[in-house]
Amino acid sequence: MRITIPVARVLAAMLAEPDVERYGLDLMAATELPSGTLYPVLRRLQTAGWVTADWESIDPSSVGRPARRYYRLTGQGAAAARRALAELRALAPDPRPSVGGIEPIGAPAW
Amino acid sequence: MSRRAAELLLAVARRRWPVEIRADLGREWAAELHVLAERGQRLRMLRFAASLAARRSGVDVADRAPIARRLLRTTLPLLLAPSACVGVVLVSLFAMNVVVEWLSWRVGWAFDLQLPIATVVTLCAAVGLAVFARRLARGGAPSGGWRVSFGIVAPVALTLAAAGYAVLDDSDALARVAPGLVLWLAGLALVLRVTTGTAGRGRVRLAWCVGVLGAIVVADLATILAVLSHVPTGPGTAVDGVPQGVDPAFAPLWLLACYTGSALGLPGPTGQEIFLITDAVLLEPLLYLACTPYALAWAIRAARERPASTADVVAPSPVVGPS
Repeated sequence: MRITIPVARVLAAMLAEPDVERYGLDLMAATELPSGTLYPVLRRLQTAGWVTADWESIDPSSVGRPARRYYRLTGQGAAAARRALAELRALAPDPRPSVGGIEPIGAPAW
Repeated sequence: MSRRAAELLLAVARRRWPVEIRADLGREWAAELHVLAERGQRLRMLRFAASLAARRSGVDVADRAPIARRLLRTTLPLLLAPSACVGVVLVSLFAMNVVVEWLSWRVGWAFDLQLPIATVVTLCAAVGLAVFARRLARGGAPSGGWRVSFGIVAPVALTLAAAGYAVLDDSDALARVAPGLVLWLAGLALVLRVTTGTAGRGRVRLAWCVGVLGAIVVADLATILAVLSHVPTGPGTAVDGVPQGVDPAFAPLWLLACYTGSALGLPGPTGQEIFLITDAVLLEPLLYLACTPYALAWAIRAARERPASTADVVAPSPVVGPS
């Protein structure tokens, strides 16, 4: 699996809450990726076995909308995603020297 | 109106994805579109659909082969193959000349081997080309139907037209050659269409049989047409007592005569008729022989590479998800 920036964004969003199932619009909002980028990434992750997709079990007539498709990291996918993101962070350039002893915190941009 | 436009864009987007996942994606996107429409987020709805429609391909975008490799794998072979076939014919004629020249000092029947040598060399090279094409088609874009048929035949037509203009010095000569070639190209396109349809259904051996038999029939018909447009039928005029016409009763054997230089013991065509026939259509039968194997190999392989229909796809199993 080649970890591109869109892939890393999707993995980071899903790793934020690994047990939560996410649907397309939800992931678009979390990653700020357009649909044309997100769905190919999700497809690649599915093909690699990092993500599973399942249909929502609802009665569309009673809920008033069609069933959505939910994505979730697999166990293997979560472990691989953590490793991949850690490697990316390790490759990221060193942060600028801290000022006043305050260390930069937070996740990288992805 | 905006929802209808978004649905149209999604229909375009679906076609960019592999057949086996289109139904699921269509259903998934329609669900998201419905939510956006319910919220009255028209602009977001259109952006959602337009972004998907604008994406060239949905699968393995990041891993997609670079354009150069795709060209190398699909377009380039199909564009260059006809030139290679012309080269094969020229090399076979050169080889024939060398061998016959060498033999002519040793045996009296050396000149009887001219056409068989050219045929055997062309056939061997064409089979080699077909094996190579089959391997390249495996990594090329899967296709079938008229698309692959046109993709193969169009470069052949262009190459032959270019070669014709380069070799034939006047338009009359070109006009004499054209009917046979046009018939052959149209017939080959039809044969390839039938062959890919058969191969696409998994019946590869039958596809090969249909393809080979169809190609022989088409080449035979094209040869007959070409000969009839060059040579008069019946006894015609006689030069030094030798008739300058051909007997159409043996027309189906003319192609065979072009390859072997003989009637193979049959009563016709006679030696004089074979001379007239091969004088009229010397290169075309060799070109048919050079082009057909690779065309069939590519078409069948490309048809086999096509993904299964959506009917073969297992339906997704529903699970409980967050609302």
